[in-house]
Amino acid sequence: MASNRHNNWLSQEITQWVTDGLVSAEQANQLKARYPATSGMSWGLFLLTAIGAVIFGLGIILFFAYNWNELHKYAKLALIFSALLTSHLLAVYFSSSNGNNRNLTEGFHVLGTMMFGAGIWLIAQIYHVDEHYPTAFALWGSGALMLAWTLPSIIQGLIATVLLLAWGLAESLDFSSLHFPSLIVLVFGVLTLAWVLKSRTLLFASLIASLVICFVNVVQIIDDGNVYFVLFAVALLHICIARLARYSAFPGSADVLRVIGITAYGLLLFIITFEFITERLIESLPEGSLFIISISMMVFSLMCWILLTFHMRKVGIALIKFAELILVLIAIVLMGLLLVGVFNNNVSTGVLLLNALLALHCVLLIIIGTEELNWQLVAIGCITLALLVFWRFNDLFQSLLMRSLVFLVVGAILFFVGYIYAKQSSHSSGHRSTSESNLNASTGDQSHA
Amino acid sequence: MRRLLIGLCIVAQVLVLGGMVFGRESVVQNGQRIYLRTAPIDPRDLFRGDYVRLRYRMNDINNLSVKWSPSDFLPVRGEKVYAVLSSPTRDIYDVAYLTNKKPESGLFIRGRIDSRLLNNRFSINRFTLNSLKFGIEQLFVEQGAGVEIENKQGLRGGLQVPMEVEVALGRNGVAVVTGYRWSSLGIELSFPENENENENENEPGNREEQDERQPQLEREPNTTLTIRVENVSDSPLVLNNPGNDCGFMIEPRLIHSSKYKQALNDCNGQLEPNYLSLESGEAYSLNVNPGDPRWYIQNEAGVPFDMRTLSDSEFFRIVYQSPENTETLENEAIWIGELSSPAFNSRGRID
Repeated sequence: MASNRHNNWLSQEITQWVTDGLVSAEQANQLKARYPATSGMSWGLFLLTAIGAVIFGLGIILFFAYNWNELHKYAKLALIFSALLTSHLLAVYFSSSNGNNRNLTEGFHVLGTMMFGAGIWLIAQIYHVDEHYPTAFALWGSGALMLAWTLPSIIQGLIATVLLLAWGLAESLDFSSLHFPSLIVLVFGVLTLAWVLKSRTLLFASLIASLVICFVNVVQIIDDGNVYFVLFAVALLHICIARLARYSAFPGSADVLRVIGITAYGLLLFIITFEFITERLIESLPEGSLFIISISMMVFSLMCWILLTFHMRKVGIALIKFAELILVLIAIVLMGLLLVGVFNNNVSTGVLLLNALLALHCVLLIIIGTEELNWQLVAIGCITLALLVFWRFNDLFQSLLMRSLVFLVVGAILFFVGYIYAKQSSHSSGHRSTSESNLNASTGDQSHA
Repeated sequence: MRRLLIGLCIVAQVLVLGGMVFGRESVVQNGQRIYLRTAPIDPRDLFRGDYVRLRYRMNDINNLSVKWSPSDFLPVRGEKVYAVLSSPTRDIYDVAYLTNKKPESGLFIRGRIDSRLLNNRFSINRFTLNSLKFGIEQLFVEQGAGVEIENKQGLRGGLQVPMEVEVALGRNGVAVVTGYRWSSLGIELSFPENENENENENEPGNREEQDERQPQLEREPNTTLTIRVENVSDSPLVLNNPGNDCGFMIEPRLIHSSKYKQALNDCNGQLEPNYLSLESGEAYSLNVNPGDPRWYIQNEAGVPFDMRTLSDSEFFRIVYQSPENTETLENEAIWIGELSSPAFNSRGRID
């Protein structure tokens, strides 16, 4: 979802387009509906409110944690309950009073949620309870989630995400058990809320939390090699789903899914360019039913990617971007070959191909970034390429001559990129200033007329 | 409608906290009060932050008799278990056995299997699943007060005084710590200085020729350890210590999983009580020479031998246990119960 700043700009532009006769009023309404104004707070206010409430809550928790002997048990309990009720009742009061008290309402509800969590731990302290501690996270997170739905509140949703993640991790890591309830609550409770509220922040946080819990659970049941291939497939599926999400009721979700998918894909590809990691993966290649899981996921992701490639070709994209899609397709095939053991006797060849693939990805990113004047893409491409060369200096190229050659080539590429980017940039700004002066001239003509 | 839902959420939060308070408070108000004696302090049980970590004999499954149902039941971490309590010695209770079926009557404490699976996440064996938690292992105190308790409990090599933790016990086995008191008897275990230097790994040279069932001695035969029990209360105290210090015995740290136990000696059988009076602050010491047959242990084959012949991974304790024929009702000053020293191994390392 676009920020309020962008929405305001877009709304003004659309109004102007209607005036200029570029779009009809009906089309303008459709466009405005596609990018609705968010009712959420700005990031600054969000941080101030959330951090303020959390710090204040921590202060109260620490006061109780001192466990003052002079304070009777019932006095402590009275303080806990009154702090909880006062926070929420103040929030209710501010929400019902006149004026814009949304921040105060949100802040006091967050404080209330903090008091609820503090209450759980402090009651445990008063009664010397030493029980299954992840349950405390589950209760606390559920309390936050209920408020997130009823208010509705993105901040409460984020608190719930953190607490439910803590619940899932504590159950899985500290108790070495498969744990799906935390995942189910995250998916049906928080992800759904993020979709309903069309909040990219909450979607990003809850998706990451869900993936982390998935990963930890997957590690519990399958070997290292399988985890890698399953994650690789999941990363690609995120990118495919991102394409579908653009046509959904929440088009903003596409960016979140795409960023997560591409980041995971890039990291996984980078990891496997290390020969010792690839060797280890091959050593722990899956067998039996676990192999079926990995291979099914890879085949499914391959099919989805082929569909995406056809779709993009049909839609019509630049050749360079199409080449990028093909590179990913090659990556899937290479991974599949690695999975079925084609490179078992010649790991170095597989690793070399994967290195070349990643290097090509970097080059394509740099070219696309330069063409679109997107410095982030250029930076990511250059940094990844530099990192790749730096690491291969240590473990792939033994010959100093080869090392020198690679460094020379990469250095030259980066210099060239800098030159082209600067040229493109100056060309573009020159073109823009010409257009602006033309526009000013025509505006001046109109005003004269 | 939304306001009503928000109200319901707030009420739900209050109810959750209220439920926690009610659950514990009802046990505190209506539950039966019992005392449980804490086990000797191990290094991992030190005071942390503003709470004292308590450890009981029943926290280690190897110290308990187990009645699983069915008998091949394999516990997993987090599984509920029930420690069925035996008849108390005065007001101090101990665990009769551990079971996975909730008892229909009698006093019991509900707990959970707690150990982490370290070796293999899919294999469950006795050694990885050894720790139990009953929800009464933490005593929260005012910040700073924990150091006092820690000092009184004592550290490795010093006088250790067990806590007698007051626990309220609900019908469903929920236990709530409600207070504590100190035992009137403390125990100290010490080895002579430079004891570790006495290790003689080259002796004897003809090990292969000796009986395989008789492991070889790794320490000097005259090595002894000293056990000292002290009356730490304000009033006189009486111990029943019949025969040749027969109130004291040696036992493996992991009672039910160890292959070893105290060998038969002249302490077996019913002995005439021998009451030993200790004034406040007075101590009784005895030297334990593992080379003396009185302190021999025996293996599963029933062969008695010196515990110093074992590897340093085997740990033992010296335990004072008031004999069964000790008068209990007539004289309140008589100390009844069991008091364990810290665990030690054949090389004189105190755990």
